[in-house]
Amino acid sequence: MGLDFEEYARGAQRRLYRTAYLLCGDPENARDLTQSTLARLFQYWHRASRADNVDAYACTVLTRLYLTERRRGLRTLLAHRRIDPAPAPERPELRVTLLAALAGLPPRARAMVVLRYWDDLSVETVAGLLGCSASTVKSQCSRALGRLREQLGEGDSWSGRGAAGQPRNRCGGRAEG
Amino acid sequence: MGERDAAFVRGELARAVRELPGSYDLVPGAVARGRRRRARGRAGMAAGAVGLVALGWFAAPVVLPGRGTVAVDSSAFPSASPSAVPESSVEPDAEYLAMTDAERQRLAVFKAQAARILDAELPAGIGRLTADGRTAATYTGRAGDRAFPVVFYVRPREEGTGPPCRDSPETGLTCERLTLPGGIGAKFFGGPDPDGLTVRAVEFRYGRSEVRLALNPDVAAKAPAPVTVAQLRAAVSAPAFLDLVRGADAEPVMTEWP
Repeated sequence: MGLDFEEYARGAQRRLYRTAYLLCGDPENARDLTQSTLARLFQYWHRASRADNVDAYACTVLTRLYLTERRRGLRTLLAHRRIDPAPAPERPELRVTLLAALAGLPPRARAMVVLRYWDDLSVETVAGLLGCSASTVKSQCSRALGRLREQLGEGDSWSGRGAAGQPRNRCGGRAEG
Repeated sequence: MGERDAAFVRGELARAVRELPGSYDLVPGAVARGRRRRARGRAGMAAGAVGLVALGWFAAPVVLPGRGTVAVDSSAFPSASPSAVPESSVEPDAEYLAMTDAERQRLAVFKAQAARILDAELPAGIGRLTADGRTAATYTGRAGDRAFPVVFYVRPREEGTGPPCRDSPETGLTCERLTLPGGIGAKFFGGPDPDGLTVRAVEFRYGRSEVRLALNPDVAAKAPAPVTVAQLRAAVSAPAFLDLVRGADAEPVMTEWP
């Protein structure tokens, strides 16, 4: 018996929405992109439901729609033009800066960062999804991380080492909760 | 450097999405949109050819209410005299609906020009060609009581090389590579639709665009597309047509294939 679309979609929509938010930079466009993705999955569900990894298939659809929309410029998908106005309770300036820093990346590089470091897709999977080589993904991600570092500044969260020789990460770890 | 930076970015990405509201249910809207997309896809295939379906990329936005009928927006043909062709409203296609008013206006100007040029350059058998209203890329050629759906667009091309150009004996699809003025390489496709009626199409790349012109049969009248490869080649080789393509490549009126 095949996978039911609505059951899958209800389970996947939040994850897809988060990825869409990181790509688009604002909740409204992210919702639009997510719904477009789900609509496309519904349209081709007979094919999508048979994919080895339906989640990866959905991620592929979402990313390609995002890149297509960026090229089209029909919608106001100007990346990160509006930052979510609701600040995080801790380090709001850092969160806003990260989103703004992501906005400074070209769309494909932004997609690579989000897919690699948020969706945790492998280099090979990202390469296949974006139609490029694995070495391109590695080099672009490396450059993107470098740019993010430049834009976020030389804070000790990037370079610091604690007294015990461990990296001092004030932005993640314990603060995450 | 790499692992530490990656861990930092992961943490920050997680933090960035933490504040997102999670109460939206996008599924009902997605199902509704998906159903509309499916319906349009089926309508496009019903008007098209086996070859077109096999290619998978000529699924043009020709919206027909069902096989054997042609949907006509009578407001698009104010001077049309009554004919035997059944008339009903053309449902706007999804691509048209996604356009802004300014984009629709530019598209309307382009389609009017295209209709004039194609009407002049295509053979007489296709009849008087006019642009369909509220669609991105469709036209209709009317010859007597026959109506031939036509699809034509110039849009920014997608990555990839497009469908291969080769004959398919099992489907009856043929493909011929010919050269247009200026050394433009073009693929001329032909083949039977599900009713066995011939469809003819040409596809080529120009600048940053992909160009497609497809002439469909009148299924109700059981009339194949009244154009030969030679006639189609002559039409798309005409200076006026290539000028139109050149202009649309320089200033696109459409987006990549959605």
